[in-house]
Amino acid sequence: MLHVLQVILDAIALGSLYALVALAIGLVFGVMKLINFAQGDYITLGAYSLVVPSASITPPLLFGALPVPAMIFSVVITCVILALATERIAFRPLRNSSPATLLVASFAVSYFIQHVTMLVQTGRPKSVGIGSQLANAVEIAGLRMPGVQILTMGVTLALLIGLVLFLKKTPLGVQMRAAAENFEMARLLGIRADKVIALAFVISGGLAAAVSMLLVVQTGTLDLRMGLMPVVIAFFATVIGGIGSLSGAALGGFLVGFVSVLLQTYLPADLRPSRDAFVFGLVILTLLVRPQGLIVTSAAKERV
Amino acid sequence: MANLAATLRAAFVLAWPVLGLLLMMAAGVLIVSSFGSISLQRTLTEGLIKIVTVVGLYIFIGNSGVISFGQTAFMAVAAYASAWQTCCPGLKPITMHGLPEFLIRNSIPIIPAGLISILLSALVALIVGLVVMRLSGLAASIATLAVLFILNAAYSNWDSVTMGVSSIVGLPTYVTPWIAYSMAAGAMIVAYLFQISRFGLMLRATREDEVAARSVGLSVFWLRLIAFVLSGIVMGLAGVLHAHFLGTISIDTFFLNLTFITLAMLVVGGTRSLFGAVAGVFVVMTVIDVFRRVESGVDLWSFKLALPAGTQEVILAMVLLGVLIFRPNGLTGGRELTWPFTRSVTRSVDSMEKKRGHVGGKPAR
Amino acid sequence: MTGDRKAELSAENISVSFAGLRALSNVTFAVHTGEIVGLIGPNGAGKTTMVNVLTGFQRPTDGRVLLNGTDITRYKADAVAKSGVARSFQAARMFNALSVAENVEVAALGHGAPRRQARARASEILEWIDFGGKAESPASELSYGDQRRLGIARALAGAPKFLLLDEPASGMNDAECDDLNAHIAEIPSRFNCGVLLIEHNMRVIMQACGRIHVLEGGRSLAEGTPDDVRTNPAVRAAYLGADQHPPKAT
Repeated sequence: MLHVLQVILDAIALGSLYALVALAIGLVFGVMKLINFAQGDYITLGAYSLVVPSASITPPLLFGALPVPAMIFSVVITCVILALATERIAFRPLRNSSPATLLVASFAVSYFIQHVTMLVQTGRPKSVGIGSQLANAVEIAGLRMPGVQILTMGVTLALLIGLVLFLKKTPLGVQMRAAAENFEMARLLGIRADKVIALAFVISGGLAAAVSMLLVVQTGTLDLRMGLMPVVIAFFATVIGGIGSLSGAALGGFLVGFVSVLLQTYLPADLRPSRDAFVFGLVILTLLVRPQGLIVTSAAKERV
Repeated sequence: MANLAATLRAAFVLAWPVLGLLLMMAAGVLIVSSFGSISLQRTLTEGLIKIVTVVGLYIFIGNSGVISFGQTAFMAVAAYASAWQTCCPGLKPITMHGLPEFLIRNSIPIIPAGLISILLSALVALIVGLVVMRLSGLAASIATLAVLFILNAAYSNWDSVTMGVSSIVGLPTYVTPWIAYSMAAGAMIVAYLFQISRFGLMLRATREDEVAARSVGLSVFWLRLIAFVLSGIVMGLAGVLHAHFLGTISIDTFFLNLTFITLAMLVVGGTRSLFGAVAGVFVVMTVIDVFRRVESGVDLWSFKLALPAGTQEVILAMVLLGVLIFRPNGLTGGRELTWPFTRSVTRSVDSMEKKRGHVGGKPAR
Repeated sequence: MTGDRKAELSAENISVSFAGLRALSNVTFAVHTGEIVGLIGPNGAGKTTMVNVLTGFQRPTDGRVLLNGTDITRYKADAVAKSGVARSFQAARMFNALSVAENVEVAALGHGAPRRQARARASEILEWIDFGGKAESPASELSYGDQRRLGIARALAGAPKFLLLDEPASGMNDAECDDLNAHIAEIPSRFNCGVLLIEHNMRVIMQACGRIHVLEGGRSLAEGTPDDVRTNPAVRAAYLGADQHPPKAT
């Protein structure tokens, strides 16, 4: 029984992490019909900003050496600047292009960031010890949980709640949400496109920073592909949830994370390495049953 | 007699977009295979195989307007299938003991093996297509990405058959420049015939406006499925050629990098024409090859210039972005190669022949 | 209605709601081959929604669509088109990269015509609607008015039994309207089909239609000859109340 509870907590932790990434993807998609593959590279670069750029596999710390609040601030700023830069340089000139073109463009941006990082940092994984004291298990009500787990759950849930409150309660957030669900209408109502799009990228950069630090604390390694899996899963999450729906994206991300932990635990041992194949297979099956996604918005339907 | 001449002339003008390309390519192959260095000949063969690959992408993406990230998965399916049939007879019982008994004991001649492999990739494309083509354009793109990841995860872990992430070495290498050329020619002819067929025309109508297409009785699902399977067949051919050119395959060569590079080729050339697909391969291969050489060091006047490894990829990403921003319809602008001496009489012979694709991409809603 | 041998496209008690908002409630009417029926009403009355329902682009929440007695309510849009109900769109929705001729040809192909026949059909229709000279130019290069006319040509390519035209005259000047009118008037006899015409331009409606159905706020308000409708107090109130395109004598 206790074991089941533990698995469920694990699933919630991973689910909310993916929900964060999916929300970032969903927000940007809402305002400019861009499915941003480069979101994963914001995460990767945020993580790499913790160390001094070099070819070493055990590099000295850069932002990682700062006191925790300063470290968080610096990583967030790095990711936000990167997100805004990609918007300004690559995506803004393409604002009126088709979603397919934008998708290819974000693929190119991702490839670019990844290989520039590789030029500087080499392709080998690096180890970085931040928050290793969090690896110690904490016992709460009979449940032994690694501190990292608690941190992940705490941070992701706090961010999710914060973001939802921001989107629902603040005037800026309401504008943002209106724009994400129906951009044309929002523009007609006088919401400025540049401002809303920039804001979406700022948020997606901030969320990438949070995810990157959590991943580093969890794994203790830096890898050029560390952002890939979260972002691909977030892609599927937005489609499962219903393209154009923010709550759908969050729900989709949560479900995918939840299901992959369950599969990881309950799949027969010899099939476990292929867990991702099963997760993605389920993604496709879900789409078969509900091609429009779980939450259908008016934006998803083509107007006749 | 005059009538016959006019018909022949019309047929020639109709065939020119593919014929012209084939003639130019043949000249290139002739020159390089007679005078080129070994390394240039290898680059040429590699480029011709890339043409098969990108033409395969073009058949689906160019005509349907739906980006697919999954086509490289069909290459992998055929490449592995061909390896199972032709590779390393002595080692198979040990390294690929999960194969059916018959395959472990026997090798199949390369040509039937190739055909069977292509058939398998077509079958996989059909099954995938039956599911994925039901989705709307953007959701379908992402679902094809899921297909790529599923296949990668499955083959990476299916150790008893695929040797997991390690390479299968020792496939017979039979792909010469001329074999690659004739296969590229075949792929291009298939693509062109499809494009001018009724199905090609109907599929392009769905690309231009899905709603209007449905209103005149076009089934978006079936039309996309036909192109998806045809594309799967050509991708299968590309996979077989790839495997038997290098003599070695591993699952990670059929993943995001190859997907990115081939998609970049198609977009750089122009997704909406066969000319674009071929020109894109030529341009991008040239860029890659030049920087590959510079990365390994060239003598420039008095000093030696060597760019760090990875420059080539960074440049490629910049080229792709630049084309997307400044020439959204690719370098060819989506035009086909047209017979330059057409008189106005032949202009109306077949509307297929005409330039198209000068229109911008559909704006986002 | 019994004994009427003509083909009939009918909407029976159609209701549509979007997220609780009633776009159509309980609308019933029919079109027969050989006639032109007008569907008018202020903006937001539900006219386009009605066309979407009749052509399979919108599932009604309630009610049925019958084509010669066959229930086609749940048919997909392409199946509806194939069974003989064609439409044009408010936005022109051309196949932009295709030529004018191909736009029409592909529509004939969609109905299963062989290639040669589709091409012949296309040039025949284009000739009729005076497009002969522009057949080879890309659809995107046409003027707005020409795009609307091409929309009609395309819809006719599949030899439909019923043609639903969604504001074909919008954005046209008076001369173009008159020309369009003449062509629309020819459609029933020439192509042996029935026409449902949605139009804001009363000049077009009053000239072309034998019968007019008026919608307001998703409900049927009136139906009758142009003169009946023009003099109907409820219609006058709806239009004048909404202060929009009051029907006026031509």
